[in-house]
Amino acid sequence: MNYFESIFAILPILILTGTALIILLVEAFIDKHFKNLISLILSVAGLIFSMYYLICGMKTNATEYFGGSYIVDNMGMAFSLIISIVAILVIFVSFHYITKKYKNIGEYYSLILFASAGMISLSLSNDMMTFFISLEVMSIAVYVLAGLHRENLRSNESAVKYLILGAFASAFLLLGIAFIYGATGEMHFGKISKILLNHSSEYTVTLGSTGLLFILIGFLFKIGAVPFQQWVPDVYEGAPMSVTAFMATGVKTAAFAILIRGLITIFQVIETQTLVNILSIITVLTMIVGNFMALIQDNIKRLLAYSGIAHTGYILLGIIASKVTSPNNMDISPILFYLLAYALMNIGAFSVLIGGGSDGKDLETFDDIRGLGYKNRLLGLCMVVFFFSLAGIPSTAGFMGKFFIFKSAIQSQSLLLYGLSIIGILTAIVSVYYYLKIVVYLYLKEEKRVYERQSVKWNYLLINIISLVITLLIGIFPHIGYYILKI
Amino acid sequence: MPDFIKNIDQVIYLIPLVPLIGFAINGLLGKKLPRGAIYFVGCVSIFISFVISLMALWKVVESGSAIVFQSGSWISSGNLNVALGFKIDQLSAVMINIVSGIGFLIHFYSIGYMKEDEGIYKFFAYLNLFCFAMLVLVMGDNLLLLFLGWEGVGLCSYLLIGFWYKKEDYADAGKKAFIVNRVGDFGFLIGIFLIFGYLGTISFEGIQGALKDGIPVVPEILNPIVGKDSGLLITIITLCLFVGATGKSAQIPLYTWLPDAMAGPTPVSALIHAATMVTAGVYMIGRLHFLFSLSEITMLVILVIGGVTALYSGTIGITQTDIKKVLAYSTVSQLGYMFMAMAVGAFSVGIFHLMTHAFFKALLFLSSGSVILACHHEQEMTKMGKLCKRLPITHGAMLVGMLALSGVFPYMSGFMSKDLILEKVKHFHSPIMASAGEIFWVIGILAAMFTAFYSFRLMGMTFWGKSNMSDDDYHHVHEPSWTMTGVLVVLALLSIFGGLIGLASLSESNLHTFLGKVFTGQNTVESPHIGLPTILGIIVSAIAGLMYGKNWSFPETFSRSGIGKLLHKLSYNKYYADEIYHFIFVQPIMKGSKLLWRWIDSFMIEGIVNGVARLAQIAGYFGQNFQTGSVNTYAFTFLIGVILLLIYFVVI
Amino acid sequence: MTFFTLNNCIILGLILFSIGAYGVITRRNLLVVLMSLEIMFNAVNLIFLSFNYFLYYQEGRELGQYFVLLVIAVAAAEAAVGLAILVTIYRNRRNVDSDLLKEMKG
Repeated sequence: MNYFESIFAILPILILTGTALIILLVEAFIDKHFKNLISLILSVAGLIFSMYYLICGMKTNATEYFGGSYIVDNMGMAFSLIISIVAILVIFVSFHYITKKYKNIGEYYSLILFASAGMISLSLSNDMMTFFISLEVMSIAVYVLAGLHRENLRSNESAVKYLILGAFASAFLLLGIAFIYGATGEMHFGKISKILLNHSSEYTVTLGSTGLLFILIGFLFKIGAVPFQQWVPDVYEGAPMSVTAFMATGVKTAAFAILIRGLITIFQVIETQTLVNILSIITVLTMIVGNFMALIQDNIKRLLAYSGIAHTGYILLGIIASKVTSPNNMDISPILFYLLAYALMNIGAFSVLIGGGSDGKDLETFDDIRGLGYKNRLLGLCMVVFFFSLAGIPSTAGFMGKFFIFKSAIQSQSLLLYGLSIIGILTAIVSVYYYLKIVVYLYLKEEKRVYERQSVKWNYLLINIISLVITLLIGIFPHIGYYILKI
Repeated sequence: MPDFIKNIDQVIYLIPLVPLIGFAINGLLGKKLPRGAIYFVGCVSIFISFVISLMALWKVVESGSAIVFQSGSWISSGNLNVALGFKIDQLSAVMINIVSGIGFLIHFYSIGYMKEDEGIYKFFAYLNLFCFAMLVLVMGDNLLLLFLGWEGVGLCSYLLIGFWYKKEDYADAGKKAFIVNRVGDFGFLIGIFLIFGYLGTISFEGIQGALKDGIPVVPEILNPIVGKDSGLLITIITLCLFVGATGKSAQIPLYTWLPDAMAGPTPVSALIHAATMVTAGVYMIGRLHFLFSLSEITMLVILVIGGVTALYSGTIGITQTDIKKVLAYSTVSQLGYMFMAMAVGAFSVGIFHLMTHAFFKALLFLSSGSVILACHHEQEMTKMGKLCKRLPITHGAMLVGMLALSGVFPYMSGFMSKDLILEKVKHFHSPIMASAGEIFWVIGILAAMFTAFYSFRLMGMTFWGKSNMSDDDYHHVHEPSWTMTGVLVVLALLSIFGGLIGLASLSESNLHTFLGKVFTGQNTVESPHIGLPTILGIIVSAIAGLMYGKNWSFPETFSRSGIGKLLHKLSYNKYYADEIYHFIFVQPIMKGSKLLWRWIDSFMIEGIVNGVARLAQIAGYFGQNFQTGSVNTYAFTFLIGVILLLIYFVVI
Repeated sequence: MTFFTLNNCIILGLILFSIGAYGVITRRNLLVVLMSLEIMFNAVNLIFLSFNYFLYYQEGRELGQYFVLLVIAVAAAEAAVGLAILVTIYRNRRNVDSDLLKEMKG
């Protein structure tokens, strides 16, 4: 493989890293009034630039670079695109938000970019080393982001919990990698699965599949599946709101990217039935715990964290469905669609929660959002659509996402998946209750209170309208969503 | 046939689109528009679609074939390919005229009724949106479009019930309607998925085509569920669909939302909760009649549910004192009749009753609306009385409606459809239960007697009897504006004469032969005749009218006597259905989630960790400083998860 | 040196890993928790090295060694970030006890 061609293939990652470094440098030299705006422009430019190269580098055939460390294929590209979109949206949402809370603005933007570079690298990685490094680049950047609000005790707590549990999970992941290395002596995904599939030595297979199980656990931790979900609500609740939005969408997308990458390469070694059984138990637990725990929350951030866990369950359902349908050639388009829809509606909802706050305070509890629909009509409308979409009500992206997931589950001709779908639909009905509760609060008036109009900064409006339009658009014409992701 | 009728095919998409545009205008710009403009946009948009609907009906009548409008592929993924298509056949043609026609009248009526409310633009916007969704529902040529409309009307219903957001129980009622409907939708969705899995298509034409040459074999996908028994599969599918219908059409056990939905403005009750949305379940069965008639079990289930609902809600209706609640239970009861008609295979009769019911129930709701408005938003009938002097037009309209509803006045609309239903039920022979026809004929007659009773009880309490208002209030009661009374008069005329299009002895080309082109294989429908049900109805209504009109003390004493007290209490409290539902469904979910939380929080974290800690202390092995702190416990559960997975992995 | 075998090294690594995991679960002082995490990482390093040394080194395959270097770097970065967060927590509440960091739960 030509060296320059390899460099070109990972250019998006290099651009993001470079932009992040430039922002850090530039920050030192410019007037503090322009810091925010210039950082915003630089980072968005970097992201768009990298998206351009992502689309340029798109190949119809999967191609490996750097001796197999990176793989460029449709799936990785689609995940990278979702991640870039998420990063751009989050950067816009952060624009006014961070000036209220932090002094070192450049750090914030560059950390987001570092994390995005890690995520994209993660979704393109094809060997244990690249994968581990990318995961850590992403995670460490996000640990710092979660604790950026230094004076806030909850932000501290969130960061330290995330860090300790994340590192704990990483240790298990590493143990898994070590086992696999012991069994095969290789790091490359393809070579590992080839050796494990061909070698009939019991020692190799046992060591290898135990290692794979540990790696699977590491992935399940990152996507927040039960029983590895306990960090999610605490970390999401404590982190600054814009970072929560980033974690809930970006980190999750990247983690799903690598999970699926694993499923189509190394996890093929594990017998499909065993893998599907394990995932099914976890999926059921995830859907149930996520939805039922969300029912009793009164903090919306925390509620969204639990709802995120529930959505993880639905995506896992889609993954199982495509794994069962064709174990070696998974059709992941429903999952990609769901992730895109989920990212849009979640960032939209967070943007309303940030933008609707006054006096530097975000909207967090049900009391905070009471009557928001009267204070700002547009925000109210957006929030209604986003929550309808999260609840999966027709003509929104969330409905189409669930529709495709359940459809693929039903087409898979397996009794297990019928059962899972029924549990999924039942828990989705439960979820309508808490989403609707929020919508009702938006339009609940306190007696004799006159609501003053409240204006909203341009960046929140922009993100709201973009998310709203795309949510409805791909909810009504889903093939547009497929077109965006080129799947 | 004039040219513009011939070419109507090309513009039928305007029928749903124009109300949608009306919704967009009122919804987006309504805040800035003057009231007049809002009224204009709201009413004219639905009027335009009514006119186009009429022309479409004309064309369908003349040509005898369906109008089809197809766009390109809408969703295509895998082997699912759904085209965005509308189809107006005879059934849809009738439905769109009911929806847009009654819809227009109610829009017009709302101008007067809602004139004191703020945010009127929102109200009209939602009404238009509702009409859009309902029209999509009845025009769609596949199950997905039907389902979209189905969800859309549910959403609008929710928005409109909760229109008066200021009061929390209104918002609650809206929520209840929405959630109960989701339960029904769950069944409906499963039904759709099963149909797709079975026949590989969800367009009505496709389904009918697949079933035309005998029942197809069960595909391999569904073998784990039903084996090779295609009859069983069809039964399951139709039962699932029927669960959806019970949700939307308020049948037992999912009827509780409808009486609560009366919290919304009265025109909404008339349009959504009487004339159109709640009949969607009946329409759906009619639309898929070729599927339903394949399963005798399902048909019997529908008959039983319909019959029991008709009687059950009738018995509740006779003790309610809220004027709108009476009408709500009456609606539930009449929907039960429609389902009975569908169940015995008399599809066109069911649709006929749907139509006449739309006329007279809209009339009744709107009349009650004008009573409520005249009494300053008082809905308790015990606080009314003797209003016939003050509200002559409303009284006349209401009387017409009640005569039609109770079916006691020969050849009025309600009489004809109800009598036909009873006749058809009587001659129904279910292969499973031979005497089902006779039994449900009796139940139907009983229900009709209850109907007659509460109808004239309502008349007696509200219009006849002695006035229970203060003199001052009584003299302030006056008729509403002409826009409202005008609508009442139009609907009254429809209620009187509307039944004639279903009269077989009047003309060869009546509604039943017209619909017969869709419902092929249906038996011929004769003319109704005056028989036992009518006579019993007349007697009961006379008694009720006299009892409450002349203020006999009998009802009072009866409801105080031993058994009477019990019955009255049961009926008045709706057989405690809400409480029972709350106890069975709502509480367990709330309690379950609390329990789960407590379980995870105290058992998993505190319990296990403390337990392990205690064990460790006893063993003296782990050392003393084994304490629970949250990060540590999270790590611990993580480890537990790892260990469980490892165990599973090793054991299996 | 019969004691120096692959199995014994792996078992030593696993024991170290368990000690680390035990520390994470039981110690309240977050500083100690971070140290326990370091033990876990280094236990994995040990396992890597022993696999590399006993199984593949003779064949000239040395990926395991490189991976260990990588893990050391990552662990250092994680420790740096972790310590920085602990310092801010200490500034705010003069304490780094995990029992006191339970504001968010439920």
